[in-house]
Amino acid sequence: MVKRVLKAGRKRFWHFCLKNACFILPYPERGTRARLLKNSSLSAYVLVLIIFQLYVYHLSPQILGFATNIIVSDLYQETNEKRIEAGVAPLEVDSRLEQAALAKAQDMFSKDYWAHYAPDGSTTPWQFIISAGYTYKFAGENLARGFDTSVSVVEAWMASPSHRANLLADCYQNIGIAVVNGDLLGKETTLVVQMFGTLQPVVVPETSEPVSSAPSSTLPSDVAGTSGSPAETPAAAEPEPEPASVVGPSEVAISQPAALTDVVVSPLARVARVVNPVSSPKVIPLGFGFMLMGLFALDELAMLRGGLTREEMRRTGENIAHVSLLGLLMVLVLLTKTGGVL
Amino acid sequence: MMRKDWLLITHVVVLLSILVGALWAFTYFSGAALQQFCVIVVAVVAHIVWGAIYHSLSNRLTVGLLLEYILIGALVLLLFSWTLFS
Repeated sequence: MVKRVLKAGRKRFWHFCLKNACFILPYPERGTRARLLKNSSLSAYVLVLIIFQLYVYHLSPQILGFATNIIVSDLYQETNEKRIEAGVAPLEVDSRLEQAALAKAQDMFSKDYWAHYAPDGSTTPWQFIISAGYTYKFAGENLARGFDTSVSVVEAWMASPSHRANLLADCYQNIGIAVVNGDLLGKETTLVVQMFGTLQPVVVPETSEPVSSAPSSTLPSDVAGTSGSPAETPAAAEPEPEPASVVGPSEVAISQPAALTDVVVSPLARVARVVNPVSSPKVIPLGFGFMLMGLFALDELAMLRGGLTREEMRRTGENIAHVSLLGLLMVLVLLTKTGGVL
Repeated sequence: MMRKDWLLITHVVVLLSILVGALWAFTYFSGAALQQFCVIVVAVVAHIVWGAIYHSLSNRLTVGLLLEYILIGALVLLLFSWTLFS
Protein backbone atom coordinates (compact mmCIF):
# COMPACT_ATOMS: atom_id res chain seq x y z
CA MET A 1 0.00 0.00 0.00
CA VAL A 2 2.72 2.43 1.09
CA LYS A 3 4.87 1.36 -1.83
CA ARG A 4 2.04 2.00 -4.25
CA VAL A 5 1.44 5.49 -2.81
CA LEU A 6 5.15 6.28 -3.00
CA LYS A 7 5.34 5.05 -6.58
CA ALA A 8 2.34 7.12 -7.58
CA GLY A 9 3.82 10.17 -5.84
CA ARG A 10 7.13 9.72 -7.63
CA LYS A 11 5.38 9.33 -10.94
CA ARG A 12 3.38 12.51 -10.37
CA PHE A 13 6.51 14.38 -9.34
CA TRP A 14 8.40 13.44 -12.51
CA HIS A 15 5.35 14.18 -14.61
CA PHE A 16 5.18 17.62 -13.00
CA CYS A 17 8.92 18.19 -13.55
CA LEU A 18 8.78 17.20 -17.21
CA LYS A 19 5.66 19.23 -17.78
CA ASN A 20 7.17 22.38 -16.28
CA ALA A 21 10.79 21.88 -17.30
CA CYS A 22 10.30 24.29 -20.19
CA PHE A 23 10.09 27.11 -17.64
CA ILE A 24 13.69 26.72 -16.56
CA LEU A 25 15.25 24.55 -19.26
CA PRO A 26 15.96 25.82 -22.79
CA TYR A 27 15.19 23.94 -25.98
CA PRO A 28 18.14 24.75 -28.28
CA GLU A 29 16.87 22.47 -31.03
CA ARG A 30 13.69 24.53 -31.20
CA GLY A 31 15.66 27.75 -31.00
CA THR A 32 13.94 28.83 -27.81
CA ARG A 33 15.10 29.87 -24.40
CA ALA A 34 13.61 28.79 -21.10
CA ARG A 35 10.18 30.35 -20.67
CA LEU A 36 11.40 32.32 -17.66
CA LEU A 37 13.95 34.03 -19.92
CA LYS A 38 11.65 34.92 -22.80
CA ASN A 39 10.97 38.56 -23.51
CA SER A 40 7.41 38.20 -22.26
CA SER A 41 8.69 36.90 -18.91
CA LEU A 42 11.35 39.63 -18.69
CA SER A 43 8.64 42.24 -19.36
CA ALA A 44 6.55 40.73 -16.57
CA TYR A 45 9.50 40.97 -14.12
CA VAL A 46 10.02 44.62 -15.02
CA LEU A 47 6.33 45.38 -14.54
CA VAL A 48 6.10 43.54 -11.23
CA LEU A 49 9.21 45.28 -9.90
CA ILE A 50 7.90 48.71 -10.88
CA ILE A 51 4.54 48.05 -9.23
CA PHE A 52 6.15 46.56 -6.12
CA GLN A 53 8.56 49.46 -5.70
CA LEU A 54 5.78 51.99 -6.18
CA TYR A 55 3.64 50.18 -3.64
CA VAL A 56 6.33 49.75 -1.02
CA TYR A 57 7.87 53.22 -1.15
CA HIS A 58 5.03 55.48 -2.15
CA LEU A 59 1.71 53.91 -1.40
CA SER A 60 2.46 51.95 1.73
CA PRO A 61 5.50 53.32 3.56
CA GLN A 62 4.03 52.22 6.88
CA ILE A 63 4.79 48.58 6.24
CA LEU A 64 8.47 49.24 6.79
CA GLY A 65 9.62 47.95 10.14
CA PHE A 66 12.56 48.32 12.48
CA ALA A 67 14.76 45.37 13.15
CA THR A 68 18.20 46.68 13.94
CA ASN A 69 20.61 45.19 16.40
CA ILE A 70 22.20 48.37 17.76
CA ILE A 71 22.93 48.17 21.46
CA VAL A 72 23.96 51.33 23.27
CA SER A 73 26.24 49.50 25.70
CA ASP A 74 27.97 47.88 22.72
CA LEU A 75 28.52 51.30 21.16
CA TYR A 76 30.19 52.52 24.36
CA GLN A 77 32.29 49.39 24.52
CA GLU A 78 33.29 49.51 20.86
CA THR A 79 34.18 53.19 21.10
CA ASN A 80 36.36 52.71 24.16
CA GLU A 81 38.01 49.64 22.65
CA LYS A 82 39.00 51.69 19.61
CA ARG A 83 40.37 54.42 21.87
CA ILE A 84 42.36 51.94 23.96
CA GLU A 85 43.75 50.38 20.76
CA ALA A 86 44.84 53.87 19.68
CA GLY A 87 46.48 54.51 23.05
CA VAL A 88 43.88 57.05 24.17
CA ALA A 89 42.13 57.01 27.53
CA PRO A 90 38.61 55.52 27.50
CA LEU A 91 35.61 57.80 27.96
CA GLU A 92 33.23 57.90 30.89
CA VAL A 93 29.52 57.84 30.24
CA ASP A 94 27.83 61.09 31.26
CA SER A 95 24.06 61.12 31.63
CA ARG A 96 23.88 64.80 30.61
CA LEU A 97 25.55 64.01 27.29
CA GLU A 98 23.13 61.10 26.87
CA GLN A 99 20.24 63.52 27.36
CA ALA A 100 21.82 65.94 24.90
CA ALA A 101 22.20 63.16 22.34
CA LEU A 102 18.59 62.12 22.85
CA ALA A 103 17.36 65.72 22.50
CA LYS A 104 19.42 66.12 19.32
CA ALA A 105 17.97 62.95 17.79
CA GLN A 106 14.44 64.04 18.66
CA ASP A 107 15.10 67.47 17.18
CA MET A 108 16.27 65.85 13.92
CA PHE A 109 13.13 63.74 13.74
CA SER A 110 10.74 66.54 14.67
CA LYS A 111 12.29 69.03 12.21
CA ASP A 112 13.05 66.31 9.66
CA TYR A 113 16.70 67.03 8.90
CA TRP A 114 19.93 65.07 8.66
CA ALA A 115 22.68 67.49 9.67
CA HIS A 116 24.67 68.75 12.64
CA TYR A 117 22.93 72.11 12.52
CA ALA A 118 19.19 72.52 11.99
CA PRO A 119 18.61 73.91 8.47
CA ASP A 120 16.50 76.77 9.86
CA GLY A 121 19.38 77.74 12.13
CA SER A 122 17.29 77.23 15.26
CA THR A 123 19.54 74.66 16.95
CA THR A 124 23.19 73.66 17.12
CA PRO A 125 24.63 70.52 18.74
CA TRP A 126 26.18 72.64 21.47
CA GLN A 127 22.83 74.03 22.56
CA PHE A 128 21.66 70.52 23.42
CA ILE A 129 24.78 69.89 25.48
CA ILE A 130 24.46 73.16 27.38
CA SER A 131 20.74 72.66 27.84
CA ALA A 132 21.41 69.29 29.43
CA GLY A 133 23.51 71.06 32.04
CA TYR A 134 26.91 70.10 30.71
CA THR A 135 29.19 73.15 30.64
CA TYR A 136 31.84 72.02 28.23
CA LYS A 137 35.39 72.97 27.51
CA PHE A 138 35.54 70.66 24.51
CA ALA A 139 32.60 69.09 22.71
CA GLY A 140 32.04 67.01 19.60
CA GLU A 141 29.31 65.10 17.80
CA ASN A 142 29.13 62.09 15.48
CA LEU A 143 25.95 60.96 13.73
CA ALA A 144 24.97 57.73 11.98
CA ARG A 145 21.81 56.36 10.42
CA GLY A 146 20.67 53.30 8.53
CA PHE A 147 22.98 50.75 10.13
CA ASP A 148 22.00 47.31 11.38
CA THR A 149 24.55 46.62 14.09
CA SER A 150 26.59 48.47 16.70
CA VAL A 151 29.83 47.22 15.16
CA SER A 152 28.94 48.54 11.70
CA VAL A 153 28.19 51.99 13.15
CA VAL A 154 31.56 52.28 14.89
CA GLU A 155 33.37 50.82 11.89
CA ALA A 156 31.77 53.43 9.62
CA TRP A 157 32.91 56.20 11.94
CA MET A 158 36.40 54.73 12.07
CA ALA A 159 36.50 54.56 8.26
CA SER A 160 35.83 58.29 7.97
CA PRO A 161 38.93 60.38 8.85
CA SER A 162 36.95 63.22 10.40
CA HIS A 163 34.72 60.97 12.52
CA ARG A 164 37.70 58.87 13.51
CA ALA A 165 39.54 62.02 14.66
CA ASN A 166 36.53 62.91 16.80
CA LEU A 167 36.19 59.41 18.21
CA LEU A 168 39.89 59.11 19.10
CA ALA A 169 40.47 62.70 20.27
CA ASP A 170 42.34 62.70 23.57
CA CYS A 171 40.80 66.00 24.65
CA TYR A 172 37.47 64.32 25.46
CA GLN A 173 36.69 62.73 28.81
CA ASN A 174 32.96 62.00 28.61
CA ILE A 175 30.57 60.43 26.16
CA GLY A 176 26.81 60.10 25.70
CA ILE A 177 24.99 58.10 23.05
CA ALA A 178 21.35 57.91 22.01
CA VAL A 179 19.79 55.44 19.58
CA VAL A 180 16.37 56.55 18.40
CA ASN A 181 13.89 55.17 15.90
CA GLY A 182 11.65 57.46 13.89
CA ASP A 183 10.59 58.76 10.53
CA LEU A 184 13.35 60.82 8.92
CA LEU A 185 12.99 62.34 5.46
CA GLY A 186 10.09 60.03 4.68
CA LYS A 187 11.90 56.87 5.72
CA GLU A 188 11.85 54.89 8.94
CA THR A 189 15.33 55.28 10.33
CA THR A 190 17.43 54.29 13.31
CA LEU A 191 19.49 57.34 14.26
CA VAL A 192 22.63 57.14 16.39
CA VAL A 193 23.86 60.34 18.04
CA GLN A 194 27.23 60.26 19.77
CA MET A 195 28.19 63.29 21.88
CA PHE A 196 31.67 63.85 23.30
CA GLY A 197 32.67 66.36 25.90
CA THR A 198 35.05 67.57 28.57
CA LEU A 199 33.74 69.65 31.40
CA GLN A 200 34.87 73.21 31.86
CA PRO A 201 37.10 73.13 34.93
CA VAL A 202 36.01 75.22 37.84
CA VAL A 203 38.63 77.95 38.07
CA VAL A 204 39.26 79.60 41.39
CA PRO A 205 40.91 82.91 40.58
CA GLU A 206 43.95 83.52 42.72
CA THR A 207 44.61 86.93 41.28
CA SER A 208 42.31 89.80 40.65
CA GLU A 209 42.47 89.22 36.86
CA PRO A 210 39.72 87.00 35.43
CA VAL A 211 40.78 83.76 33.79
CA SER A 212 39.19 83.16 30.42
CA SER A 213 38.94 79.75 28.88
CA ALA A 214 37.03 79.68 25.60
CA PRO A 215 35.20 76.46 24.87
CA SER A 216 35.97 74.47 21.75
CA SER A 217 33.50 72.34 19.86
CA THR A 218 34.09 70.00 16.97
CA LEU A 219 32.04 68.35 14.30
CA PRO A 220 33.43 65.75 11.93
CA SER A 221 33.38 68.23 9.04
CA ASP A 222 35.57 70.61 11.03
CA VAL A 223 38.40 68.14 11.20
CA ALA A 224 38.03 66.61 7.76
CA GLY A 225 41.38 66.08 6.17
CA THR A 226 43.34 67.10 9.22
CA SER A 227 45.29 64.94 11.55
CA GLY A 228 45.09 67.25 14.50
CA SER A 229 42.88 66.73 17.48
CA PRO A 230 39.62 68.64 17.66
CA ALA A 231 41.03 70.78 20.42
CA GLU A 232 43.49 72.25 17.96
CA THR A 233 40.74 73.23 15.56
CA PRO A 234 38.78 76.31 16.47
CA ALA A 235 35.05 75.98 16.09
CA ALA A 236 33.55 78.20 13.44
CA ALA A 237 30.74 79.45 15.60
CA GLU A 238 29.50 78.08 18.82
CA PRO A 239 27.58 79.60 21.67
CA GLU A 240 29.29 80.67 24.81
CA PRO A 241 28.52 78.09 27.42
CA GLU A 242 26.13 79.50 29.89
CA PRO A 243 25.97 78.55 33.52
CA ALA A 244 24.57 75.12 34.11
CA SER A 245 21.64 76.60 35.91
CA VAL A 246 20.10 78.08 32.78
CA VAL A 247 18.31 74.92 31.74
CA GLY A 248 18.44 71.87 33.89
CA PRO A 249 18.39 68.33 32.59
CA SER A 250 14.85 67.93 33.74
CA GLU A 251 13.75 70.62 31.33
CA VAL A 252 14.98 68.79 28.29
CA ALA A 253 11.92 67.93 26.28
CA ILE A 254 11.36 64.22 26.12
CA SER A 255 8.85 63.36 23.48
CA GLN A 256 8.25 60.64 20.96
CA PRO A 257 10.14 58.99 19.40
CA ALA A 258 11.68 57.64 22.54
CA ALA A 259 15.28 56.61 22.85
CA LEU A 260 16.08 52.95 22.69
CA THR A 261 18.53 52.15 25.39
CA ASP A 262 18.92 48.66 24.01
CA VAL A 263 17.69 48.03 20.51
CA VAL A 264 17.89 44.28 20.80
CA VAL A 265 15.99 42.03 18.48
CA SER A 266 15.18 38.42 19.00
CA PRO A 267 16.81 35.76 16.80
CA LEU A 268 13.43 35.38 15.07
CA ALA A 269 13.35 39.09 14.26
CA ARG A 270 16.88 38.87 12.89
CA VAL A 271 15.84 36.06 10.58
CA ALA A 272 12.75 38.05 9.63
CA ARG A 273 14.95 41.01 8.74
CA VAL A 274 17.09 38.92 6.42
CA VAL A 275 14.09 37.29 4.83
CA ASN A 276 11.98 40.46 4.68
CA PRO A 277 12.84 42.02 1.31
CA VAL A 278 11.64 45.42 2.42
CA SER A 279 13.82 45.79 5.50
CA SER A 280 16.82 44.21 3.81
CA PRO A 281 17.17 45.96 0.46
CA LYS A 282 19.82 43.58 -0.85
CA VAL A 283 17.76 40.38 -0.67
CA ILE A 284 15.55 40.87 -3.74
CA PRO A 285 18.30 42.17 -6.09
CA LEU A 286 20.68 39.38 -5.07
CA GLY A 287 18.02 36.66 -5.25
CA PHE A 288 16.73 37.84 -8.59
CA GLY A 289 20.26 38.24 -9.95
CA PHE A 290 21.19 34.71 -8.89
CA MET A 291 18.03 33.30 -10.46
CA LEU A 292 18.60 35.00 -13.82
CA MET A 293 22.29 34.14 -13.87
CA GLY A 294 21.44 30.51 -13.15
CA LEU A 295 18.93 30.42 -15.99
CA PHE A 296 21.41 31.99 -18.40
CA ALA A 297 24.05 29.48 -17.29
CA LEU A 298 21.62 26.61 -17.96
CA ASP A 299 20.92 28.09 -21.36
CA GLU A 300 24.61 28.26 -22.18
CA LEU A 301 25.12 24.68 -20.99
CA ALA A 302 22.27 23.46 -23.16
CA MET A 303 23.80 25.23 -26.15
CA LEU A 304 27.18 23.68 -25.52
CA ARG A 305 25.66 20.20 -25.13
CA GLY A 306 23.71 20.71 -28.33
CA GLY A 307 26.98 21.18 -30.22
CA LEU A 308 25.42 23.81 -32.44
CA THR A 309 26.70 27.28 -33.25
CA ARG A 310 24.71 30.30 -32.15
CA GLU A 311 23.84 31.15 -35.71
CA GLU A 312 22.40 27.70 -36.25
CA MET A 313 20.46 27.72 -33.05
CA ARG A 314 18.56 30.89 -32.65
CA ARG A 315 18.49 34.63 -32.63
CA THR A 316 18.87 35.56 -28.98
CA GLY A 317 21.21 37.80 -27.06
CA GLU A 318 24.63 36.71 -25.91
CA ASN A 319 24.46 35.00 -22.54
CA ILE A 320 27.93 36.24 -21.66
CA ALA A 321 26.80 39.86 -22.03
CA HIS A 322 23.74 39.39 -19.83
CA VAL A 323 25.61 37.37 -17.22
CA SER A 324 28.34 39.99 -17.02
CA LEU A 325 25.80 42.78 -16.49
CA LEU A 326 23.97 40.76 -13.84
CA GLY A 327 27.29 39.91 -12.20
CA LEU A 328 28.12 43.61 -12.12
CA LEU A 329 24.76 44.31 -10.52
CA MET A 330 25.40 41.79 -7.78
CA VAL A 331 28.89 43.06 -7.02
CA LEU A 332 27.62 46.65 -6.85
CA VAL A 333 24.70 45.62 -4.62
CA LEU A 334 27.15 43.95 -2.25
CA LEU A 335 29.40 47.03 -2.31
CA THR A 336 26.55 49.43 -1.62
CA LYS A 337 26.51 50.83 1.87
CA THR A 338 23.04 51.28 3.20
CA GLY A 339 24.01 53.37 6.23
CA GLY A 340 25.47 56.85 6.45
CA VAL A 341 27.54 58.89 8.89
CA LEU A 342 27.69 62.63 9.43
CA MET B 1 36.30 32.90 -39.56
CA MET B 2 39.07 35.39 -38.83
CA ARG B 3 36.52 38.21 -38.67
CA LYS B 4 34.36 36.20 -36.28
CA ASP B 5 37.30 35.63 -33.93
CA TRP B 6 38.13 39.31 -33.91
CA LEU B 7 34.52 40.15 -33.27
CA LEU B 8 34.36 37.76 -30.33
CA ILE B 9 37.60 39.12 -28.87
CA THR B 10 36.31 42.68 -29.28
CA HIS B 11 33.05 41.64 -27.68
CA VAL B 12 34.78 40.27 -24.59
CA VAL B 13 37.15 43.27 -24.35
CA VAL B 14 34.26 45.76 -24.56
CA LEU B 15 32.24 43.86 -21.95
CA LEU B 16 35.24 43.73 -19.61
CA SER B 17 35.85 47.46 -20.15
CA ILE B 18 32.25 48.24 -19.21
CA LEU B 19 32.54 46.08 -16.08
CA VAL B 20 35.88 47.47 -14.91
CA GLY B 21 34.93 51.06 -15.74
CA ALA B 22 31.63 50.77 -13.86
CA LEU B 23 33.31 49.18 -10.84
CA TRP B 24 35.98 51.89 -10.71
CA ALA B 25 33.46 54.71 -11.09
CA PHE B 26 31.18 53.15 -8.46
CA THR B 27 33.93 53.00 -5.85
CA TYR B 28 35.13 56.49 -6.88
CA PHE B 29 31.67 57.90 -6.09
CA SER B 30 31.38 55.91 -2.86
CA GLY B 31 28.78 57.47 -0.58
CA ALA B 32 27.13 59.55 -3.32
CA ALA B 33 24.01 57.55 -4.21
CA LEU B 34 22.91 59.69 -7.15
CA GLN B 35 26.29 59.58 -8.87
CA GLN B 36 26.46 55.83 -8.26
CA PHE B 37 23.06 55.43 -9.88
CA CYS B 38 24.30 57.47 -12.87
CA VAL B 39 27.25 55.08 -13.15
CA ILE B 40 24.97 52.05 -13.44
CA VAL B 41 22.74 53.90 -15.93
CA VAL B 42 25.79 54.57 -18.13
CA ALA B 43 26.88 50.91 -17.82
CA VAL B 44 23.41 49.68 -18.80
CA VAL B 45 23.20 52.04 -21.79
CA ALA B 46 26.68 50.95 -22.90
CA HIS B 47 25.55 47.30 -22.56
CA ILE B 48 22.51 47.90 -24.77
CA VAL B 49 24.36 49.98 -27.38
CA TRP B 50 27.24 47.52 -27.62
CA GLY B 51 24.78 44.60 -27.80
CA ALA B 52 23.08 46.27 -30.77
CA ILE B 53 26.40 46.99 -32.48
CA TYR B 54 27.72 43.48 -31.88
CA HIS B 55 24.62 41.75 -33.23
CA SER B 56 24.45 44.18 -36.12
CA LEU B 57 28.05 43.33 -37.06
CA SER B 58 27.26 39.61 -36.89
CA ASN B 59 24.07 40.16 -38.95
CA ARG B 60 21.80 38.90 -36.16
CA LEU B 61 20.15 42.09 -35.00
CA THR B 62 16.38 41.91 -34.63
CA VAL B 63 13.79 43.96 -32.78
CA GLY B 64 13.17 41.09 -30.36
CA LEU B 65 16.85 40.81 -29.60
CA LEU B 66 17.18 44.55 -28.99
CA LEU B 67 14.15 44.35 -26.70
CA GLU B 68 15.86 41.54 -24.77
CA TYR B 69 18.88 43.78 -24.09
CA ILE B 70 16.63 46.68 -23.08
CA LEU B 71 14.60 44.48 -20.71
CA ILE B 72 17.70 43.03 -19.03
CA GLY B 73 19.05 46.58 -18.66
CA ALA B 74 15.76 47.79 -17.17
CA LEU B 75 15.76 44.89 -14.72
CA VAL B 76 19.28 45.69 -13.59
CA LEU B 77 18.39 49.37 -13.11
CA LEU B 78 15.26 48.54 -11.12
CA LEU B 79 17.03 46.02 -8.92
CA PHE B 80 19.92 48.38 -8.28
CA SER B 81 17.69 51.32 -7.45
CA TRP B 82 15.95 49.02 -4.97
CA THR B 83 19.16 48.65 -3.01
CA LEU B 84 20.44 52.18 -3.46
CA PHE B 85 17.37 54.17 -2.56
CA SER B 86 15.61 51.93 -0.05
